[in-house]
Amino acid sequence: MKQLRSFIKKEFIHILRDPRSLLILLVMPLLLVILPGYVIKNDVKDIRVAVIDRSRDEMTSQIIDRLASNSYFHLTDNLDNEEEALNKFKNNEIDLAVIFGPDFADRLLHTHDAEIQIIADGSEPNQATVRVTYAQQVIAQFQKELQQQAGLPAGMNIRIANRMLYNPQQRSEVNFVPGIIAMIILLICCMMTSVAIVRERETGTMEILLASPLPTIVIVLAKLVPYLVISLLDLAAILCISVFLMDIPMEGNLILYLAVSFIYILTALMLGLLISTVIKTQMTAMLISLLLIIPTIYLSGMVFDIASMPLPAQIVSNIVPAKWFILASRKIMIEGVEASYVMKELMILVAELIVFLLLAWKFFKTRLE
Amino acid sequence: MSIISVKDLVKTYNKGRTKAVDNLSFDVERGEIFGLIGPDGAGKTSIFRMLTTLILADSGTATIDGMDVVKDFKKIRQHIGYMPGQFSLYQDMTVEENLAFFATVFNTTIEENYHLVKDIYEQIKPFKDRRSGKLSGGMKQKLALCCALIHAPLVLFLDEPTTGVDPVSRKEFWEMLQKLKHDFKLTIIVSTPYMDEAVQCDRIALIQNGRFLTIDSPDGIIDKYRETLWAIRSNQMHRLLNDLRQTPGVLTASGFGETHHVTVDPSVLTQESLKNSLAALGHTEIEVTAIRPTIEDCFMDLQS
Repeated sequence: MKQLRSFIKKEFIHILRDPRSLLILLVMPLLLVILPGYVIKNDVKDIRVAVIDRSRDEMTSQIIDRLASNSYFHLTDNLDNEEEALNKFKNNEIDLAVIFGPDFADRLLHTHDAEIQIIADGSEPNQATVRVTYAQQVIAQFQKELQQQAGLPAGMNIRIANRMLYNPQQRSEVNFVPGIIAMIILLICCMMTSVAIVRERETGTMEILLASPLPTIVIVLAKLVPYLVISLLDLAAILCISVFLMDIPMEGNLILYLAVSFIYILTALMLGLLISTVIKTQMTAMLISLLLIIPTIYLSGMVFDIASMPLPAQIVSNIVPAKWFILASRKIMIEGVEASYVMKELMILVAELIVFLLLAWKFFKTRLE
Repeated sequence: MSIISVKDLVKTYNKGRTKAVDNLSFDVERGEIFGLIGPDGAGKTSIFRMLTTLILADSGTATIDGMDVVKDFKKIRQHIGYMPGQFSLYQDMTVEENLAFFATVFNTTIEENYHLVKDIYEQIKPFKDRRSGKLSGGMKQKLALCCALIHAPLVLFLDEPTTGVDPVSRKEFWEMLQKLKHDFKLTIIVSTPYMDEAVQCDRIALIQNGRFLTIDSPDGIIDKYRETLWAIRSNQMHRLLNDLRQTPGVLTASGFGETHHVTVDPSVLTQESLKNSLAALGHTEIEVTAIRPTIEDCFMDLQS
């Protein structure tokens, strides 16, 4: 136990004293999430809005005024029908169309089903999401103030329907965050772990460790624990950023999500361990790990829909651990399902974990050759 | 009983094509410094790695204090100290951190066996907060020696500990080994490519191409030398070597730093006749002295 503790301490020293490791382990994961999601988000302004007002009553004109006076929006046209709006989208003259349903004021005050439809150009999904969100905020603010002013009961609702044009798929970062997490974990656990073990072999320190009474299990555990801890830290940081800064939903049970992530982290660690047992130099370990990133990006469903891939690719995608992690993550984060709905994914991850563990155990050498 | 006993040890690489260790047998006695002396690629490191349980022999057996290097490898690993040829400490950790780490690796503490490393560690203690990668070559070796000693091993295996170390540090290093042997009756098995370090050992094995040329004490090896050996110098050292090789009666001639060492057939040449023939070739300031051979002379003699 004391051996393990001091060995783990030593591993942390290696990591903390190497600026490059720190950069990869702590800074890069956050950048990977923040850059595509949050930073680009801030660039959204001067949103060109067209309005189609089928009610032309006091309420709609108030909302339109608010949009027009908001610094983020730039009101271009008052159109008569959707057709015109679509044309404007095609000619890239507007970014957003806000359509008010008929009898807006009347429905808002009496039947509580006033309708607003927001249409955005989905070909830039990130920006489209943000634009829609901004418009929603303006409307929500209006509704809130109206309630207070008129002393109306809470629950009075404006139903907002969003539509993405060209990319009816919806928000990309909702899909993209689980993918990024899958990739970062693979990178940290697989690459950093295998490099850390192979480094001992390459610099000759493994020779002393093997010639010492240290049990193999201590060497392996001590190598894995720091990267497990760092992966969990990164996971927590990414989740915080996603939920609080990027409005990614966490519909399901957080504990369930963390449990699935934990299993995925273990699977990735075992894969890293396995790589380190068969690879001789740090450079090759790094290359092999990077090669593993490619199927993770392309075959996991992170970027491309698996169902639309050719059959061989679909078959191969089944052995990519990230695929199952991403599937389970999306189910939990977006659909908010119960544990029983992600059992299949979880079981497959556990199976892969065991296979990697056994292979690593078989290949790990208690001697130098 | 000998502390190390090796019998018919064979190690090949490349599926048997390269013979690194060719059927070697030897014993190391308790409390002696045993030297494996030979050029690079002679098989020294392979022998060390087999004895330290790091690689498996193709055939043959070896025991350390009665423990078999294959069957009892776990037990052996608790009782040996090993310093590989490559500097193998953590360069990003300080002197003190390295020592403390290796102490816990061996289930001990610095305090418990401090008496063993005290003399050596005191020398590097002023730099205890310096990262080991930033130490000089000599200090690195001292630290590595401390780390190999901290668990009070039965046997110390030092693979080329003085390679790449400056002459002053080399001398200091050997003094430390002598002191360890004297104070703690430690058995030390050490390899080196430097023939001049052979005299520091109690017994040495001269090794080449995986075979022993001889095993004996340095004096024993020198006493067995049967050739007539002269050291020769003149004003033109460079040409002298060629001229010597052309001279009838000269068996071998090789450069030895300040002088050339020459073995001769005494029935053909005397010191006087050699001087005369060299003078006739234009050499001046000729000196010819009969000398006691060095281990290197013996090595070259046994080699041929």
